[in-house]
This record gives sequence, C-alpha cells and structure tokens, in this order.
Amino acid sequence: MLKKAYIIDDDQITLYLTQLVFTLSTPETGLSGFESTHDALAQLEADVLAGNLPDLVLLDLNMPFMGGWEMLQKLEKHTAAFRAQGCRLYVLSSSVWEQDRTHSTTCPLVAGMLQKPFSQEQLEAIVKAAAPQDSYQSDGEPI
Amino acid sequence: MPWNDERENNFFLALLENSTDLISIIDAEGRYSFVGGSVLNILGYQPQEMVGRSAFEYVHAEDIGFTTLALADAVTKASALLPPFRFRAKSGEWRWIEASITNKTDVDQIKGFVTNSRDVTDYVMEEKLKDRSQAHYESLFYNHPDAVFELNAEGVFVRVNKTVSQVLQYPDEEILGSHFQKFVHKDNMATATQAFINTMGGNSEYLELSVVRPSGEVGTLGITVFPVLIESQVVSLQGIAKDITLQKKYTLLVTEQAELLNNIMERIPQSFYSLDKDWSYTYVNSYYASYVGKSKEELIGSCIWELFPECMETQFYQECNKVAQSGLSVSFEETVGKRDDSVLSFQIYPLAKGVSVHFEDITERKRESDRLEKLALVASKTTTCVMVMDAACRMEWVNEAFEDLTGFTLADCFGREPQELLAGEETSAKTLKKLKKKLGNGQAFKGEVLNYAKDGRKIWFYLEITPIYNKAGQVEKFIAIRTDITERKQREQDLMRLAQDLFQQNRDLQQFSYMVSHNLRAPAANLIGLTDILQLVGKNSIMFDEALLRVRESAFKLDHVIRDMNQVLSVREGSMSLDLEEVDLRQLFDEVIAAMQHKLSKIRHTVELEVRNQAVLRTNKAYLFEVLKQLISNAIRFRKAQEPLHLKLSAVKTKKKVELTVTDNGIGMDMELAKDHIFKLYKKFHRGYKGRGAGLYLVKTYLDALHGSIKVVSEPGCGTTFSIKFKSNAKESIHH
Repeated sequence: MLKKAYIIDDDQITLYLTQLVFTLSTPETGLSGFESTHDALAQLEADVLAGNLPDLVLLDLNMPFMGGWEMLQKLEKHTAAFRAQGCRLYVLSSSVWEQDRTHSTTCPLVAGMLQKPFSQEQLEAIVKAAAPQDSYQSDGEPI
Repeated sequence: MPWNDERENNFFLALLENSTDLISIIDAEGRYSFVGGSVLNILGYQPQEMVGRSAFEYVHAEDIGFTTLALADAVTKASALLPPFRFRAKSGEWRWIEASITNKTDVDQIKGFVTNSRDVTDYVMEEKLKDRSQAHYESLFYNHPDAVFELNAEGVFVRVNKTVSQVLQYPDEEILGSHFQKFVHKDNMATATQAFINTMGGNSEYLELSVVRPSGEVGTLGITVFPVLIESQVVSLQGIAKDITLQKKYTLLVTEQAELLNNIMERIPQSFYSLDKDWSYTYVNSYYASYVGKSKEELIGSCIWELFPECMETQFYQECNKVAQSGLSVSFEETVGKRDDSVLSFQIYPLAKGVSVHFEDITERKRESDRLEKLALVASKTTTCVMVMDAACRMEWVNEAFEDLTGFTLADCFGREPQELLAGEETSAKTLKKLKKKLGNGQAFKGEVLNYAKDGRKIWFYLEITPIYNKAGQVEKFIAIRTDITERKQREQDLMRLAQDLFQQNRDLQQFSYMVSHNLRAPAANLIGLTDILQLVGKNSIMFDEALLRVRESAFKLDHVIRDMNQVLSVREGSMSLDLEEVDLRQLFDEVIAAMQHKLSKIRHTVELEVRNQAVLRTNKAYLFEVLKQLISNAIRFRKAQEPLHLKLSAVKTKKKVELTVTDNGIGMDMELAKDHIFKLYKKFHRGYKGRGAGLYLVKTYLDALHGSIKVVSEPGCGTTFSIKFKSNAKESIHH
C-alpha cells in the first residue's frame, strides 16, 4: 500500500506519464511531482525531520543544476531515517548505461533501478516488493 | 936591375915571355915603349905590335876614365894600383885586367912607367855572378808574399820581410831583436821550441803554430823552417810563414760538419746512400746496410742494379734515372714488398756525380695515419655531434655536424662551457644539475637534454658524455656525443598530445554518448509509455487527447536531440579537414551582428565593438561565426528583462595570443553551480528559460575544432563575460 509517493524529474512528460500510471494502477496513492531537485531535496529533508517520508521516491538521474546522483549524495546521511520510516527510493532513468545500473547498487539508499518508461508492471512490482514486510530490501530487483 | 950581358938579357926576356903577369913600360901618355913577351899568351898580341901604341887604345871606353886617372896618379906619385878594367884582346874579346903602375922614370935604363898587369877575367866574372845571386836572394827574401824571417842561433829575429809584421801585427822594430817565443801561443810553445831545435840540428820541417797578436787575437800560421848552413855549420834558421787562420777555421768547420753529418746519418733510423753516375754506391749509412742485409764494404763500389736487379722494375728505378737526367730532386712514396705490404717514402737528390737517396719505411706510420684519418673523417663528417671538452668542461673542439646543426662555430665554442651557449629557458635545470654532478665525479652521463641553437631554435639531444682518464687516473678530457632526437621528441610530444586529445575526445564522446543515450532515450521512453497508455485508455477518454499531445511533444523532443546530435557530429567530423583563412575579426563582428539583427531589433540594446592591434586570425570563419552567434544568442536570451541589453564584443591580438570576449549585462550565473557543467551537453542553469542546454556545448565543440579555449566569468545579476583564446601559432597546429 502506497500512501504517499514522490516523482522527481525535470521532464514534464515523464511527470505526466507517471501520474497517469499511478492514477490507473493505485489511484489511492498521493503522488507529488518535483521538477526541481532543489525543491525535492528541501521537501525530503523536511519529511525526515517530520518523520513522514513518502513510501516511495522515484528519482531521475539526468537533471539540470543538481543531478540525481548529486542529490543522492546529499541524502545519504539520512539513510537510517529512510529505513526507519520505510521509504524506498528507486532510480527511474531513461539511461541504458551499465555504469548507472552498477552505481545504483553501490548506493545504500537506492532500492532499485528502474528504466523509463514507468509502467504499471513496474509499479505493481514495487508494491509487491514492499508488501510482505514493511521493511527495506536493498537487493530487490523489481523487474 | 942592371943588364950585364946578352945572356942575362935573354933570360929576362924569356922570363917575361913565360910569366902569367904582363910586364910593360909606358910613358906618361900611356904609349908602350916595351911589352913583355907574355902578352902573346895573355892577350894574343905580338909585343912589337903594341910598342909605340897607346895602352888606352886597348882599354874599354867605360874604363878609360879611372885608368887615365891612375896613370896620372903614378906620374905624380911613385905608384898606382888599378882596379880591374876591360882590355881588348887580339881576338876582340874583352878581358878583365888588374894592373899596378910603378914610376921608374928616374931609372936610366927604363925611363918610363912599369906596368904589371894580370888577367883577372875569371875572378871578376865569378865575383859578378856572386853579386847577382845575392840580389836574387835578397829579392826573394824581402818581396816574398809570405812572411819570411831569419832567426839567429839564439832564436832571435834578425831579419824579417814586410809581411812578417802584417802576419804578427807587431811593427818590425818590435820583432827584430825579439825571441820567437814572445809571439808563440803558450799551448804551442813546446812544439815551437822543438821545431827550432830540430831545425838548428840541420832539418827542415813544416809546422802549424798559434800566435798571439797585440790585440790578444790568436792566429794560426803555417810555417816552413829550414837551417842556414855556412860551410856545413848551421848558423841560423830561416822560415816562411803563412796566415792560415781562416783556412784552418774552415777546415775545422768542414771536418766538424762532415763528422756531424756522418754521425747523424749513422744514427737516424732512416736509410741514406749515394750513388755515382754508374749507379755504384759511394756512401751508405749503417741503417741502410742493415736494412738491405749487406755490409757497407759489400755495398760501396757495387752497382745497385746489379746487387738488386728486382729494383729495376720499380718506380724508384725510373725516378733515379729522372733525377740523374734532370738534376732536379724528387720525392715520392712507393708500395713495395712481396705482398705490397710496405710503403717507402723516397727522396732523391742530384749530386755532382750521381744521386743521393733517402728513404724511410712509413708502413706503420701510414697505417696509423690512415686509421687516424678515418677516425677524423668519422668524427668530423658524422651527422652525430661530437664535442671534446677539457677536464673543466670547457669546449676544445666540435665537429662540423655540431656547427651545422647548432650554428655555433668552433670559434664560438672554444674555451667556453657548453651550457653557456646551449642551455635555454626550457632546458631542464634538474638534468643540468645531474649532469654537473656526474661529470664532477668523473662519471659518464647519458640523458636527453633540450639545447638551443644559435638562432634560438630548440634541439632535443640524446647526450652521452664519456670521461677520458690519463695514466694517473685523472680526468683529462670529456667526449660528448649528441644525437639529434628533436624529431623523435617532437613525435613523442605529438603522440602525448594526441593521446591527451584522444583521452579528452574519448571522455567527451563518452559524455556525449551518455547524454545522447539519455536524451534520446528519454523522449523515446516517453513515447513508449504514452502509446501504452493510449492503448489502455481508448480513443474516447479525455486522457487520450492529452496523451496524444504529449506524444507529439515527445516526438519533437526526439527530433531536436537528433538534430543537436547531427550538428555536433558534423562539427566534429568537419574539424578533421577545416579550411583556414585569415579572418579580420572586426569584419567578422560586423557580420555576426548583422546576422543577429533579426533578434536584436526586437529588443532594446546597444552594441560596443572594440578591436585592437589589427586583429587578424587564421582560423575557420564559419565555426568562429557560429560560436559568436551562439554567445550573442545566449546574451539575448539571458538578458535582464527591465534593462536594455548592452553587448560588447572585443578582440585583442598580442604576440602570443588572440583573445575575443563577449560581454553582456544579463542575469548572469552562479558560477559555484555552473563551473563544472556549463559547457556540458544538456546542462541548464536557468529556470524558466527556454533551451535544451546544447548551445554552449556546441560552442565548446566548435572551439575544440579550432584549438581555442573558452572561459567564463559571471555573477548573478551582473552579467557574463565569455573569453575565447587562440594561441598565435594555433594556425599550424590545426591539422587533425
């Protein structure tokens, strides 16, 4: 059950498409879209403090000003909070680069790597992976 | 005396007739009154022929004077004695007669002057002869061109001719009466005294004596001395002396020289010999004799061609004949020996009666000099630079290759240390220090050094310096060999640059392909996602139209990315073969401003152009044009909304570089955020502004192709300045 989810991507079409997938699959999820990493980072840090991190964060890598990896670096210090609050972060990228995939596995904050386009199958897999225990699994590969 | 009788008278007559004396009686005028009979024997006359005639008729005209006076004497005195006078005999011959006249006029029987005459012709003639020989002797003595002298039995000079004083250089009066020892040099005193004793003992001899002259000068006299005998008794010594000082000196000199020459000839290890006109040996030195393996005795007098017939086949034989004919000396070298393995150097000189030959076996020397010649040839002609330095590393010699390559002549180099001339700005101080340390320790050095030619040209050398030690183990010289590795070094540097370029390009390409894959895939992924949704929602859903719009948008995005890609790739590909031209930057600015006029005309703006130092740049005009266009386009896009745009383009050319700047008064950027990414593809730094983040990446791509660099200075709210730099020699390096 995903109550609250964030999508961080500078591409409006991706935001739109992701919104559509959530609307069609889990209409109960409150999805917020962030075009700017700065805004998203500020929100997440506020959430960490408030103890209400979202259940799911989808993060694009290739963005202006502050890229996805850069943002992850800044979030790393909150890894414990993410785990404690059951927040799973997936990298959602159009990248087909192997480096990006391997990089994602070395980052403890990243639950998995998703390739665009975001689909209903991917969302279902995420929900499934989160369902059995409400805990964090780093080795989970949803696809 | 009284005539007593006839008999007595006849006795006297007979006595008179047979006497060797002639008795006659003359009167005071000289007329004969009686002539004794001996006249017939003595003069050939009959006594009666003469009686009554004057005696003066018979006397020689020259003698009449004193005979007349004698008769006159006898008239007044009792008697007179006549010296010999000439009296004509019956034969007409003149006879010398000595006579005495006695006055007997007071004797009655006589009544006249009795003359008593005697024929003394033989005696007179003898005396006359004696006189003449004495004169001859005197003449010989006094007029002799040599010094003639006489010493008495005590050794004292008693007679000297005029040459003696010339020879001894003492005046006659100092010589006469002086003992001979006064003039003899003390070293010769014993010889002189011995010779005097010998001569006084009756022997003649020749001796050479040194005499001392008043000036102290010593002369040498050659003296012949002989005894003067009177009745078998040596009474004195006579001598004839000749000044042989010079002669002696010359003889001595000639002897010494001949001896010296002979010594030299005998001692030097070279062959000398002389041949007469029949080619027989007249002189050989020992070296030659042993060289041909024969004794001197065998050689002297033998004909060379008979002893060594094989020589007649040689050049030597021909040259000998040539010298004998022409009288001109020759020198030549000839290869001889059974295996043509010896080289002899001959000199043949003409002599008055033949030739003299000097030769030397120069086989070894020739071999050595050939070797040295080859070595020298290698050292001087090799393309490797060779340098010889003394122990203090001062240059003593450099070869032609060094001179040609560096432009420094031997004269430039001599006495100076190499680094004074060759080191320069970029020469590694570390290498020099290492080199100095090595050489200071007498060790060899090997390494690569950058040297500068006289004209400032850089030359990379592989340098090998080897110390040369003397017998005492001290460094005497250094030999430096330089191999020009400039080309290799250049290639190395080119390769390094190329590797760097390739690395950079590879990184750029990686980044490019990453960005491209991302940015191509992003709209493509969206298209896939959207079409999935389209299928799901059906045509009648309101979502369908919305999704369709997004499909269109994604397709455009995809198209843009593909266009960007195409542009970047074509710039990269174009950079392989760029056409370069001299671009007048002022003119270029004008053209770019004109091209942007359609955008500029829509906004408030001012443009300032500043071009200094006739800025002309050899570059590709189209690329630079695109760069400027993009920068101006950015300036327009990121201008401040409330202020007119102030755009400034400047170009400054200095010796080393050409710098172009594009400055605006726009919104600027936070360089803290932008610095690492500003020229990367699809990086954006301004929210709310259109653009894909490809412009500056393209600028960078163009400038990479032009070998230009770009820097940016900016501050939010204060505008941005892009500076583009081209090295002045950039035109040469745009080649790949």
